[in-house]
Amino acid sequence: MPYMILNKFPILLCSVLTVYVHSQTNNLTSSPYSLFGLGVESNSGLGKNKGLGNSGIARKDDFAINDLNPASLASVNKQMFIFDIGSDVEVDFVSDRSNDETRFAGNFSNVGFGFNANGKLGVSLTLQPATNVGYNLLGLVGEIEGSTDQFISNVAGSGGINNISVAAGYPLTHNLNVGTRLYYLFGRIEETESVLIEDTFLTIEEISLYKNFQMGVGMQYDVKGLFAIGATVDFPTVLNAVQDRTVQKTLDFMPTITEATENEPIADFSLPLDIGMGISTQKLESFSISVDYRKRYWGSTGQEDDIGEYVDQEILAFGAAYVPNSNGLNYWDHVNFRMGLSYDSGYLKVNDTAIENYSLSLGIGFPIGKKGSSINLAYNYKQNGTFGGVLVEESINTFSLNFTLSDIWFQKRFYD
Amino acid sequence: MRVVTAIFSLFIAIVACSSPEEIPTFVVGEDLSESNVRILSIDTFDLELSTFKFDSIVTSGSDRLLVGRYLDSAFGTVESSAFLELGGATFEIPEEGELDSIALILGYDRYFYSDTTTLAQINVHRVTDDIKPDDVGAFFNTTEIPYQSLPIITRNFKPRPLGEDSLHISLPKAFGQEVFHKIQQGLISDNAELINEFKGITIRPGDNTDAAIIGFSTDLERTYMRFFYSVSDEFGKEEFIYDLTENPTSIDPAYFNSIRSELAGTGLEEIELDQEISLPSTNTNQQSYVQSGIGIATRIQFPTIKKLYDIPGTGTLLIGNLLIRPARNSFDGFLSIPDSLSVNILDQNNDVIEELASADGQIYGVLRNGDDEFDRDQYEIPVGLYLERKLNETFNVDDALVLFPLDFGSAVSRIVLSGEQNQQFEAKLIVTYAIYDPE
Repeated sequence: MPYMILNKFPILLCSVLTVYVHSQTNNLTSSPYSLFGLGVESNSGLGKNKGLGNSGIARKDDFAINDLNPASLASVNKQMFIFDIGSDVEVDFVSDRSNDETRFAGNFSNVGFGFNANGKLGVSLTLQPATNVGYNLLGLVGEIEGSTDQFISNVAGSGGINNISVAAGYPLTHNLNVGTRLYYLFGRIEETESVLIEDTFLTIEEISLYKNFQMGVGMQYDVKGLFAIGATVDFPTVLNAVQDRTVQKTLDFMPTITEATENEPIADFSLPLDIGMGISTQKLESFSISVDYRKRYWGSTGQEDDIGEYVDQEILAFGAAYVPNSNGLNYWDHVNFRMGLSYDSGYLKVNDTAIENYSLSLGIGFPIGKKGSSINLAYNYKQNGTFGGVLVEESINTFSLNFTLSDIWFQKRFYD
Repeated sequence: MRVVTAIFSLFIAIVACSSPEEIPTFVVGEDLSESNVRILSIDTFDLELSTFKFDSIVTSGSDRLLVGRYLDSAFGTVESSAFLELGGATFEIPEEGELDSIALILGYDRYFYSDTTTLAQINVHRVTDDIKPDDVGAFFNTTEIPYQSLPIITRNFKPRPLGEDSLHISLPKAFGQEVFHKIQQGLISDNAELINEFKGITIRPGDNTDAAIIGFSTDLERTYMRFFYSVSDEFGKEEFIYDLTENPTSIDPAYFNSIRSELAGTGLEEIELDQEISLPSTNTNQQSYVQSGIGIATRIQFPTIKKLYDIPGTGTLLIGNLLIRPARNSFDGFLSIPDSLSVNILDQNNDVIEELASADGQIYGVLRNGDDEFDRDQYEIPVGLYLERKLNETFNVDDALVLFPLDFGSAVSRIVLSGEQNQQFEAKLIVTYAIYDPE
C-alpha cells in the first residue's frame, strides 16, 4: 500500500509547488483594511466550506477534507484519496460615503490532499493563504515639519501569509474522534512608500518575512447518532520576522542607494489562542445544519498597530446543506445546495469602532462520478467595516470555484 | 481516475495561466493611513562665509580681451589690460603696394563693467618679449610681459559696447611701415618670422581713468590690425587691405588679460598676502566677496551639519539648499551681478579639488527671485551632494565649498554677499531631512 502513495506523491508535490509560486506573488485582496497587521484574514476555505459560511467544526465528511477540525479526517471513507483545489475572484465595492469604488482581486485560494487508508487514521496536507495584503494609496499628503510646505507620498502593499497545514484525525472510540494539526505559517509582505518633494524622490521598500509553526488540536463527538459536537484549540504562537529594506533617493538628481539591509530583525507578530466549538446535525433526511462559535484572544497578544488596536475576535457561523435525494437516480437529486451566514466581530478597533463583518454565502456542489468528487461553486457576500471617521465600508463579493476530487487509490493493486 | 486527472490538469493550467492582478489604486481608504515618513525642514545649521583670493587664475582661452580701469567702493581699483600676439593667414603683399594707413579694430563683445558714460582712455603699446604661456599652456591674471613704456597711440573714447559694433583706433603709419615692407619683400613669410620682428601688442587703460572695463572679441573677423594700401597702375589707384589677427597658427593661446586690483582701503587687504588667508564675513562688515578676474571668492563651511545625526531615528538627507542674497545696493545696471555661480570644493589650502557635479552635470547656484515681500533676488545653491559627502566622511576633512561666477577668468564682475549674520538677510542653509524609521 505505501508504495502507491510514494508513487503519486511527487506529482502532487509538484502541483502544490506550482500553486505555491503563484500564491507568493498575487493578491487575494484589495481591501484598504489590509494595511493593518499582516493583512486581512483570508476568506479561503476548502471544498464545501465556502458555501457553508465556513462553518463545520463538528461536521464529518466522507469524501472531503474539512479543514475546520483535524478530528474530521478520521471520518473520511476508507481507502479514499482526496484532492482539493480552489480559486477565488473577489469584487470589492468600497465606500467612504463620499466616494464609491470597485476593486477586483483574485487568484488561487487553496490546494490540499488527504487520505484515509484504513478508515481510521486520516491525514491531510493543505496549503492556503492565511492573510492577504493588497493596497495602493496614492497622493497621501504630509506636512513638512518646520515649514508650511507639504509633500506627496504613495504607499503600496502586497503579499500575505501562507499556511501549510499537516493534520491527522483518529477515532479514539466509536463516538469520539480526535485530531491534531501543525501549521507552518510563512510569507512575505512588501510595502513600498515613495515620497516626492519638489524634484526629489525617496523610495523605501520593505520586505518583511514572517514564519513559524502553530499547533492545534480538535475533537468531534457523536451524540446518539443525532448530532455531533466538535471543538478545536489552536495554541498561540509568535511569527518571527525579519526585514529586507532598501532605501533609495535622488539628491540633486543623483540617484543614490541610502540603505540596503537584509534580514534585520523586526517586531514579531503574535497569533492568539484560538478556540472553536461547533454543533452539527447528522443527516436529518436531506438536510444538515452546523453552527460554530470561535473566539480568538487577540487582546492578550498585547500588540499595537499604528492606527488600530487588537481586540478579541468572535466568529459565529451557521451553515445548512440540502441534497434533494442522495439515493435518487436523477443527477439533480445528488446536487448539493448550501447556504451559510456568519458574523465576525473583527480583531481590530479603530477609534473605538470594531471592524466587524457579516457575510452570507450560497453554494452549490455538482457531483462528478460516483466516488465523491465534486465541483463546488460558492458566492459569498460580505459586509466589512463601517462608515465613520477614517473608516470605510466594504461590500465584498467573492466567487469561488473549487474541485474536490476523490478516488479510491488503495485498492488498485488488487485490480492489477 | 483519468477524468479526474484531466480535470485537475486543466485546472492547474488555468491557475498557471491567470495573469497576476495589478494592485488597484483608489482614493477610498486613504485616510486610514498616513505616510510612514517624517519630513523635516531645518534651517538652524551654522554657516561660515569667508573671503579669500586665489594667488592667480587662468585668463587665457576666454575669447575676450578686457580693457579698462574703474574704482570700486568695495573692491578698490580694478584694472585690466589685454595682451595679443598677432599673426597673419597669408604673407603676400604686392611689392608695388603703397601703405596708406593702419588701424586697430576691436570688436565689442557686449561685455562691460562699470560706467560706460564716462570717457575712457586706451593706450596701445608694443610688447618687447614673446607672448608665451607657462608650461601648461595657460596665462594667468598675474602674468607679466614687458612692453614699451611709450604707447604707440593713446585714444580717448566713449565706450558703446551695446550701441556700436567695434572700436576703431588709428595707428601711426610709422609703427607698421617696417613690418609691411618686410612682408612685401618676402623677408617675413610666416608667423615665426613675423613674431621675431613684432612680438605683439598690449592694450591698456589710462593710468588714472575711472571708466568702464570693456570686453572685446578675439574673433578673427571682429578684432584685427588692418593695413590699408593701394596699388597704382596706368588706370589709376586700386585700394587693398591686409589683416593681422590673433595669431591663427599658434597652438597656445595667443592672448590673455592681466587683471589687477588695488585693495588698499577696502578692509580686504589681508587676502592679498596669501591664498590660505580667509577673512570671515563677521570681520568684513557681515559680507563676503566674489570678484572675477581678480580671483576673489567666497568660501563656505557648515561646521554643525553633523548634528543631523542627533535627530532620533534613521533618516536621510533629501535637499540641502543654500540661500545667499547679494548685499543691498551693492549692484546696479553698470555693476551687474552674474546670474549663475559655479560651485566647487576646496581643500584646506583653498585650492580647488573638484567641481560639485550631479549625475546630469555640473551644479550651479542660480540667482532667483526671492519669495519675500520685496521679491529681492537671492542665490539658491544646491549643496545636498556636498553635505552628504560631509555626513559620510570617515574623518573630519577640512574642506569647504567655494562660490565664484562661471566667467571667473573672463570677466571682472563682482558680488557682495550678505553674510551669515547680516542684519538685512542672513545667509542660510535649509536642509530637508526624511526620517523613515523612528527607531
